[in-house]
Amino acid sequence: MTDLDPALDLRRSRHDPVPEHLAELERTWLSPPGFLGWFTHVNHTSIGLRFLITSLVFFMLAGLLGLAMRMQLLSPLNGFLDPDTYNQVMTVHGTAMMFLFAIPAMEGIGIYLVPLMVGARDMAFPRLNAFGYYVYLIGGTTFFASLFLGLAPDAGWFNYVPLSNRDYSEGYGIDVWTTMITFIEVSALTAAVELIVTIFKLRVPGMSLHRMPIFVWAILVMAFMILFAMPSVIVASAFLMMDRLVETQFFVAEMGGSPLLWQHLFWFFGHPEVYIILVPALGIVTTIVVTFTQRPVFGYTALVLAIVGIGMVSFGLWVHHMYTTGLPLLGRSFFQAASAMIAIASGVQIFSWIATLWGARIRFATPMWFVLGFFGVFIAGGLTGVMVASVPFDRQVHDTYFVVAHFHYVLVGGAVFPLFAGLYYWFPKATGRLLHEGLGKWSCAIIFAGFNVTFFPMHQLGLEGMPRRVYTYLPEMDWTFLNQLSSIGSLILAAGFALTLWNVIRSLRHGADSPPNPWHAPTLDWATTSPPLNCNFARQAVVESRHPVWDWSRDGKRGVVDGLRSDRRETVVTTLLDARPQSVQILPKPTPWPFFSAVIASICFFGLIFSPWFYVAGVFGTFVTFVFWFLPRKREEVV
Amino acid sequence: MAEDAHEQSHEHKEDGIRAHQEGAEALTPWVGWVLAPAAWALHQGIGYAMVPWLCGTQRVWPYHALTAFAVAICAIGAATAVHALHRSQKIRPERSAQRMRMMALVGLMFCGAAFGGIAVEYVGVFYISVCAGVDQ
Ligand code: HEM
Repeated sequence: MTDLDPALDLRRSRHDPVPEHLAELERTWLSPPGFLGWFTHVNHTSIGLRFLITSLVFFMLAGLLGLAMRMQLLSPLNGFLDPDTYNQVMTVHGTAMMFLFAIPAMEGIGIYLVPLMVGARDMAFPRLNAFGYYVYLIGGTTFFASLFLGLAPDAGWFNYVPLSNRDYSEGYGIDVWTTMITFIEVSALTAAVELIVTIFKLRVPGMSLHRMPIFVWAILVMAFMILFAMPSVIVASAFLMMDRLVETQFFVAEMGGSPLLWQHLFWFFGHPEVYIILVPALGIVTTIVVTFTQRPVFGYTALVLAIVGIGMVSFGLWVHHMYTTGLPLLGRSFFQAASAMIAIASGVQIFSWIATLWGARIRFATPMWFVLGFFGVFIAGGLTGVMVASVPFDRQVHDTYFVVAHFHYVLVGGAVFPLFAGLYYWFPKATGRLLHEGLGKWSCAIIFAGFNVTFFPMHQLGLEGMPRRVYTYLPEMDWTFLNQLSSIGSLILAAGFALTLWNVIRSLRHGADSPPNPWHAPTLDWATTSPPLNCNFARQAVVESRHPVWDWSRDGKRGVVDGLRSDRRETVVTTLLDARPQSVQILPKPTPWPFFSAVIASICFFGLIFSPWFYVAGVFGTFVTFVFWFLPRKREEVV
Repeated sequence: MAEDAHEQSHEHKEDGIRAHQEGAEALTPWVGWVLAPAAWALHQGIGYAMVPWLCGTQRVWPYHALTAFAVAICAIGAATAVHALHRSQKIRPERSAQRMRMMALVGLMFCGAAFGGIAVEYVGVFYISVCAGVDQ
């Protein structure tokens, strides 16, 4: 970072501010082409897209596992999956959906969009960003591959002890879970740190906190939640790893350990995790509602309050996953009260959206369809959430299909619908092409119908007592019809997703060219070309309201930052609260070292399953790669 | 932006209006943001952990004291937020004042919400025995 460059100037410009040195700027920010070049990329657009694409691939794979389970449950005493395979498929489905799809997808969308929305040229630590991606890619692939190598975990996505202790789970499956989850969470932590610093320090001049887009607030809250929640699961899985590997006794009751400690540590992470996924989705929904109504969001301050409030309260709910573990009644009542409170914050948001939509001339394009789907599905999940938050009701339906229905309504409603809305909304930004509207609307309708046919009957199955995590059921139980309905629904759901996949593949080649701002959106991500320039913006902007792009099209002029060098990677640093220009940050160039660090770290983490000595090897190995990663830049580059 | 810079360099001496500094003063609107969740988390966390002990000693007053303490923290947060709200009328540029008002308002509302949270958690003690469900 250097002091404020005296040449740095904030101006208003009447014409399109394309500097003469744009060609040089683009060369400076170019990501090296070719296969080997791929391993050196550090630009956030490149890394963000990779996160997103990889997470969607995991979504498809985990979705196929979901289908496999539904095929097994199509009829009583079915033999499509044997019990052991069912347990593995179920565990990998749940774990992959949560850790390999939902969180990384939200991080990816944040990494891609936040620098664009705050008007920066890149993220604060581009190399760390790349490191996080490789860690995720390698960890996720190893985890998923375990299913095909016969090494998959089978104790469910929350991996409860004592079932997951060495006594009851021999083999390497649980070790794969503990090591890979710890490893993948390192990637989540790196993304969180970067997003926070980028949002706090790299906003363009004029973007005070109260002018930040709601989406950026949502990502900020998500990043803080990751920072507070992940250490808990990392500690839990490290303890379990040690229990299994070097015979510590953290969770062994006979030796003074506590199995309930696992549940506390896991759910202290696990419950906020749901909101880590949901909060960015709320940001996506708000962005789309604003754009498709062409009016500022109603109750900006209330929305910020609700988003930050959800983030905070979500850390006080974890015990509601443990109502049946014999905890003191008064203690449980605290968490019942807190669980009900979160509905208030969610309600505030829903009323903000309704008030924004009220009386507006809404443009019903595909992203808006998915947003409406989100309202329906998520609100239904929220209502059953209020039901299971109450101790007496939960004790009836705990571990039944009612809970499976509830959390799929919340997760698919709260993450998948908004993500698809975002996909249709930002696809033109990332590719320069529009997705096909007709296919998009059909896809949305089929997903909505298929989803409800799959998961709604599960409420009734749960009320009739069908336990979750069973590989089959008896014909006398009278659960056959509802299970068949659910399984048929899952095929419809898969067809809906396939239609969007087809739309994406088709539109990449044949999609109509998108104008620079196809939806007439107000945020800075639309104030550059689509796809964005290598440097994001020819000149960084100066903003004067929450809707800079609308201001510019009204006034016919815009404020820009001048004076940044084009022969090295520079971006403006501003103050935390009011975004006053402070200095210029020089960002690093592409390099393969983050990739090498991630490979060495992966080998060590994976090796830990077999021997603790890999830990020592890992420390030295990664240290060497870090030395090259941080090797001081040449003198002329840091002037 | 240019006006901002101008406003910043020009101190408004009249009516006590002055340029906003991003130093220690800037922390006041954040106090509600920090104290509200801290009070609520303290009340919930310590309250939850103390239930078996309350049962063992057959005393409830420590829980009442804890609640009073948590409410006091909320009140300090709220008072600081109100103070920041008033102060925001006296600073320039207007953008800084707006930002400070927004932060202070959110802080104040947080304190209200935390107070609500503490209250709904607290009422349970009047209906549920401290020993219900405790292994003795
Ligand atoms: C795409 C369609 C999906 C289908 C057909 C599906 C189906 C299922 C089924 C049948 C189960 C197992 C129930 C049991 O045996 O107890 C299950 C569990 C689960 N699903 Fe899904 N699911 C889908 C999407 C998702 C999504 C999008 C998420 C998260 C973002 C998710 C997260 C989970 C979790 C966490 C579990 C619990 C696993 C466990 O009990 O350990 N699923 N799903």
